[in-house]
Amino acid sequence: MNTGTFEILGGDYASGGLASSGLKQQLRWLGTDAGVLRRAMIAAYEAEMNVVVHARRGVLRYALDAHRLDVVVLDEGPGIPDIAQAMQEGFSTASAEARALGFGAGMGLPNIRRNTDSLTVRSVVGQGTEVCFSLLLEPAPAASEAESSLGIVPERCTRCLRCLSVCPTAALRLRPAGPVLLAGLCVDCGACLAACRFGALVPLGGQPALPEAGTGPLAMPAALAGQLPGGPDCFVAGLDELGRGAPLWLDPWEHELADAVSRHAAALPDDEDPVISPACPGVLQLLALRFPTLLPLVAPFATPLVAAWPTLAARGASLVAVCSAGLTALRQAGAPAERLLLPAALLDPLRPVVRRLARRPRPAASPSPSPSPAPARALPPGDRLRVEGLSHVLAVLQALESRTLRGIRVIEPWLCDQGCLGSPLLPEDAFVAGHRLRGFAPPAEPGGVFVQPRPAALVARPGIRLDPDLAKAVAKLAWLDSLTRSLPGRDCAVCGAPSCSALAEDLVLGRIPALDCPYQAHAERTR
Amino acid sequence: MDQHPGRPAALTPSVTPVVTLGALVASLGAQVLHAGSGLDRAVRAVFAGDRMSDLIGHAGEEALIVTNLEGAQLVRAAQLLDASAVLLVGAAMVRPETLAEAQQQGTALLVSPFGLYETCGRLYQIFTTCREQTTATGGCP
Repeated sequence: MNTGTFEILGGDYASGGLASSGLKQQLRWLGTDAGVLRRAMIAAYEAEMNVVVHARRGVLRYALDAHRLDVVVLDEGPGIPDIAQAMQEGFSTASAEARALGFGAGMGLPNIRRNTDSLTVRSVVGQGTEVCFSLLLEPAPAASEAESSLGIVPERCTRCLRCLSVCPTAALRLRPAGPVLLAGLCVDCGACLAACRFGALVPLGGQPALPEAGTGPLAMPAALAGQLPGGPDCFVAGLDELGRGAPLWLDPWEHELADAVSRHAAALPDDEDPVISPACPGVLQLLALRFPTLLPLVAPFATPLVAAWPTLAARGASLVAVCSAGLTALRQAGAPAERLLLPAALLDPLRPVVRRLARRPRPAASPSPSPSPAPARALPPGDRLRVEGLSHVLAVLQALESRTLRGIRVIEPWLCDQGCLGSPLLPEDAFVAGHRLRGFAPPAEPGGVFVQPRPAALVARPGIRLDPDLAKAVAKLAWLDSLTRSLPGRDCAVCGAPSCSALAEDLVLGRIPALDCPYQAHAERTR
Repeated sequence: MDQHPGRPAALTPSVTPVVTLGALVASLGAQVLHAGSGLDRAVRAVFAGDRMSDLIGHAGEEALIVTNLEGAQLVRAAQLLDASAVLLVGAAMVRPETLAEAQQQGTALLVSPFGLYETCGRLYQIFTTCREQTTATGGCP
């Protein structure tokens, strides 16, 4: 533990920032991550200048160890009559002299809050103010290091809390500096992407623009052809007009997989547990994290995107992935990032072309390819259960785990409503897009190998481990229990954790320096 | 880019080319009062504003701070953030203590002959041109 004190003199603008400079040197010696250092400096400088601007004198004290920095800035000054008001952006009581020097924007305390992991302000009018803040010094692992395709743009976050309430695995937190992903808990379901209206959560790892024309065909699921007016005919004609040639449709891989899963299930004894289809890559992640006991039920085939990749790579194709789980699965299968595209990369340039083509009267004679006769399935349809949408998938998998689901041979779960049509990365309503695709049977790529064995064993993900040492884990569990009971249990998420138990877990696992429950704080104030 | 009154304007185009401090000095005809760690230092972003909280909250490493706020505390704030340089506008008169602080902290201190508006306009132009060149030729002088 390393501690120190710096004196701060009120009104001494020429020396303003010296205390923060001294603290910066300490953090440098410790080898602090540059991002954390910057946040610490913003907070320290604002707190220091508050003393210079408002008070007669003050001190900045710090305590520093390998894991966290605690700073207390204490002053003798006028005090703050209404702290809530002072925390509002733009509120300031700074003098004209301070304003002339660029201070008094009313952003001091809000800037501290935004850049620290905890902040408390106490003040007595006529005596002084105490500002305490802490920062955790270990940087969070970057999202790109983890197996997830969720990107975060913190400055766009409006703290609306919608993402916290939709995440099925409690993988998101809202810290003062913005949303944070606990990547080990993310299953790439895309629910938060659909919930975020402000662009703070974005898909990661796909190219935002099309590659040069002539650099290879584009591969995509038919779901994309339902996104624009005019349906598949106009879509294909539009692609041709853009010089992209005919697309390689991914759907045959999906259809062939469904048949292979059926045949696999039919070959098993009647009283066997149902087989789970590996069609949706997001479902595989969900199983590995939330339902590891169900992993042995997954049919031993690769997910269609992964099965298709070798064929597509051999054709020099770029692939338009419609969901973040797909992007992650493809990256794991070795697809290079420059060959993966986000849907908008294709739909944005194609939209004006397709709109024009769709307005042109077409001869009624262009018969869309007649729906191919449904391939003979090895199982009667009643033995198959196709489940779509996250909440339904969770319910069915729970029922399956508790063995209350009987008489089913194959379960085909899809995380999005209407399968891939409901992906949050696709702009069109799933039912509208589905209607446009009615009767469309995407032709199979000749010479493709459609069903591939699973490339690697499915492994349960560790999720949360309180401690690798069992004795310590037990002690932490008891602490976690008592903490959870001490919280109000409202799961309001205002603290930035999705539930009271998640907040307690964050403290026990050292993700936050202190419990900061706004409801408890309010109750204490009114008492 | 959303603009709020009073917020500093991030002048950097979305694809960030790297421009050296020296290139900016030459284009603006700026006066170099102190070169800091050298005019070959990279500038990746530009932040302009006259409120300390805005500058300190937004400007980061390898940023150029463009401001009217002449003073030792501004130089110190720039150093805290590891900003590339401070560019004072409007041919500002720089007090000896401000220059002394820049020399002591090793922060580059420049003075633009133009006002805030024209300085920002010219900087924007430099970054936009450079971005186009980066896209076209893969490099920017």
